[in-house]
Amino acid sequence: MPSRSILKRRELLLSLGSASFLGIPVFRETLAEAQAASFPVRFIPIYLPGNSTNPRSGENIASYSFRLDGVLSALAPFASESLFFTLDNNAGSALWGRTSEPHAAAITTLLTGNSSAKANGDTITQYAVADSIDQIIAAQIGTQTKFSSIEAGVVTETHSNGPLQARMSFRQGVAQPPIQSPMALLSRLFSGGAPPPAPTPSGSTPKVPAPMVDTSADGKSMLDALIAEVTELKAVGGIGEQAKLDQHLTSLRELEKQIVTTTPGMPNPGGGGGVGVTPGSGCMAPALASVPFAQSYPPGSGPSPDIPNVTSQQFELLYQALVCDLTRVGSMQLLCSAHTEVSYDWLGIKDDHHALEHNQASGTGPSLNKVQSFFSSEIATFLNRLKSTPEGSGTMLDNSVVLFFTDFSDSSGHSHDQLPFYVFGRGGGKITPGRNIPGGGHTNLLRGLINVFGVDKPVGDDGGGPAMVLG
Amino acid sequence: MVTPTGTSTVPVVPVQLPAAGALGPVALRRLNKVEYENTAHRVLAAAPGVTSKFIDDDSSLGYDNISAILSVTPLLAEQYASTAKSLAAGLDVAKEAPCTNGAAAAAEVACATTFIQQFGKRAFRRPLVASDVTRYSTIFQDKRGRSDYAAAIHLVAETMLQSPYFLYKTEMGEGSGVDRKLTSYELATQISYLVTGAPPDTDLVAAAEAGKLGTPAEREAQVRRLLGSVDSTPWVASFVTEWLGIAAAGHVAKDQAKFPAYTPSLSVAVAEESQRFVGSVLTTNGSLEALFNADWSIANAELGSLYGLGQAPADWQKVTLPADQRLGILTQPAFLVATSKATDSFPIRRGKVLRTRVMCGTVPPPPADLKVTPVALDPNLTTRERFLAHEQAGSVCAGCHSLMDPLGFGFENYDATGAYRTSENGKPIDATGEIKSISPEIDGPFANALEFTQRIAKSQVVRDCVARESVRWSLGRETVSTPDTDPKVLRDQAIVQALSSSLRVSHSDMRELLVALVKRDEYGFRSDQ
Repeated sequence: MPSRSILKRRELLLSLGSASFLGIPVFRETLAEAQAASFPVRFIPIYLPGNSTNPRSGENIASYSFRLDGVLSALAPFASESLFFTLDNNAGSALWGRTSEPHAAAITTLLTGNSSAKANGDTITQYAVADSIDQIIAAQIGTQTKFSSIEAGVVTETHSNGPLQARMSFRQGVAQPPIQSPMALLSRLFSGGAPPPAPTPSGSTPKVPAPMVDTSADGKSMLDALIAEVTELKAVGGIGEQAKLDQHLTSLRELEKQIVTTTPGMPNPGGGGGVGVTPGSGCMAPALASVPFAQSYPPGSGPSPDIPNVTSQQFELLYQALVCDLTRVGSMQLLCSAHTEVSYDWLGIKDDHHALEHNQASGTGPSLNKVQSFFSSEIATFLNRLKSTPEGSGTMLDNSVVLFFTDFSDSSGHSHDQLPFYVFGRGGGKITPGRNIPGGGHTNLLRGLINVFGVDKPVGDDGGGPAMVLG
Repeated sequence: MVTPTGTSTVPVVPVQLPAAGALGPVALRRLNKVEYENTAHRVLAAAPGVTSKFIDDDSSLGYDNISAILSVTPLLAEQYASTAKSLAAGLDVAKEAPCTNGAAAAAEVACATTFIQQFGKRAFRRPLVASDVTRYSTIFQDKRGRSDYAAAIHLVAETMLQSPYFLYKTEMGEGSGVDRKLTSYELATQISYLVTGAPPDTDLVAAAEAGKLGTPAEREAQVRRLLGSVDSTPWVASFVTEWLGIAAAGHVAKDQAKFPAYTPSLSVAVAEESQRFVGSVLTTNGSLEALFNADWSIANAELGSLYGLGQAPADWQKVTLPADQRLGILTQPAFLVATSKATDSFPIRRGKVLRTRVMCGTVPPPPADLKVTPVALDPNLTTRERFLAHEQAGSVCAGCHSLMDPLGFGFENYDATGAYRTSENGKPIDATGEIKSISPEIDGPFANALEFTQRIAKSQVVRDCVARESVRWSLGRETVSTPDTDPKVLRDQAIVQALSSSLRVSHSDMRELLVALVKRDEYGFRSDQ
């Protein structure tokens, strides 16, 4: 790390430690001065189920013209900074077709290209054994930041007919669940992993609690012992337990990294500024108003999830995680595929997402479009945050790869034909945007995406295929 | 017990090698949230709610204790760390690790060593081996060099509460080879969590120390003793409600505009009724038949209103239900609510749950190249009429939906909140249904849900199904079913058959499923693969 960055980082930590943390910009002038000549490239996958508008039914993708319209109108201003993919008909049909629960199976497969999630009825008995590409990328670039990756979400669980978790992010065979509560995410990002504070009756923002993860010699002493114990178990554990213990070790090393990246004797404001990088000028812990983030149980016993506010807060926190360089891989899972509980009251819609997806022939299409349009607008707001954050002669969006994807091209019939993927950003110059790429295979696209981050290896079941060229 | 250095000082109780092989592969079964909560309470007298901030456990096969998908993610590791710190901070050092004020360093180390051995035995559910004691003594002394005695004890406890030996129920056995013998302490742990979801109690620890868990009779005695404890009923009941997919019934929302009577308190009551009913069945005679054929339930006033009882019951009173409307748990609101949508009954889901969970039948996956354009549905039709579109002649949907929908149609007398109805949209309810391609024993048409549940209650199909499901829940793993040539398939089939037989000879007492499992010769053994 250049000495100049060290000095600025120390100043930053000292300043943070003495400041009331919430809502205070982190010395923009100082940070702007300290910006390095090069900037990290981030990977930001965003999932939204049930997209059903592009391409139009019956259109020939070979002649399909790239556009962001309909429910994606809010994204139109980013057309020149986008890549649009429509996969081959039945691309990866072997992947999709091997499981019996199309919704859970689809989301599991999207970032892994792997079909090994075994379904029994509605339940997954074994998650994908392949890493999802966000985790592949995190393993490559995440060593330099406090968190290798951050997983955020908005009402991603469903409880009807028993709980069903639809996961999209996997590492070492283990699902990486998203944090749904903005306060929990705030706490994790900025206080070192403490549990979220209880919302106050007035709805005001609770103070971020003091760090609960030890960040001193105590922490190192503990983690040394814990790593030794897990390693012991690995030596005698069966084959089937190795991946689980590897994941446990990875988790402990993530904790260890939080200790190592904290300057001894300094307050722990939540880190930020990975190796060689100073947090961007927009870095600050946002002031959040407490909002209901999940369905109240039992229903009606409390406020319904405030989806508009939760969504905007989660995106703002994701932005802060990136601009503060707490992580360079941050995912957002919007909703749970096959969600059957949450309605969209603020849009005047009573139906759940699953019903909206499947009953379009009975007139739910306009309501589905309203929901999708709402989330597209939120994504556009997030993209604007990136675009309006200068980095050198460009913007933060230029140094990002935002992958927007869905589970079905036509959700009413579980169709994956011409499945659309969108990429926003230039990947630090490795992506040439403003065009559509018709056809191609799912795993070829995934391999192309990890190529941007300097990783080239087969991805998923059909991993022998070449990478799509995105530049 | 893991003896990585080969220098274990733990008394190992020899167990006779079985002829039948091992129960399954060696495993590390991470405590789920309920088990963690129970364990923290037992080890530290922690108040309820210590796991309230934990991220939810993933579920598989309908259960939240399936070992293969319970791991320690970075997020959970952070939550374990912060919880361990809080719990350790509450440790009463004067009581747990007493030491004379101003004691010499060596004396303090002796005090700490005693604490490490005693607290560690509770936390790890086994005596500590020499390497464990050395490890934690190092932590103590390192911290003591920087802080006071109490802080060093707290750090030891904090570390132990994040240890894999605390977080995982180990089924590692000792040594290596095709079959590994579980230690007596591992057996005690398995038995205790199986029956109570909590760590071994004093009696069970004593049995482990005395080496009295090696025989089927010794294990059976412990299981029967624990089944008589108050801790076992809610835990075993949780298996039944998870099996039937109703454990989350209290979490299911209904459209308040359409169902204003489905109040938050009624939602709570619906879930509580199923817990109380199953608990009562278990403590009475555990009868599987009673589960499906009981003409009674345990209700409060709100449920009495939903049931249309003439006289409102006192809180949680045993009531007789209308004989022409209700029979057993499948006609109680919890099942009906959990298998409905927010606005309507949902015959597909009801049929799928009845087929795949209650009867362990299968539904083929949709063809990979399936392209469906659902037909427009008339909202003035009955729910049955709308869903009959799936079975129209020539419909690509018919092949699979004919296996599910006719089962769900049989429950059309119950709306999305479980209330009984005889008409919908001004048309009479048609609640006839059919069981197809399950078994000649029970296949065929039925007049309504009551006839369906009577037919399956005594069936071999359901006995076999609950036996298989109990094996999955008990062992926290999938039962092996393919390939046919795999000896593990035969092993699991033999276990399921034995458990099913135990039901047949015990008047379908579901508690016998647990007894029959621990009596298996394989119970004390695990394999490398």
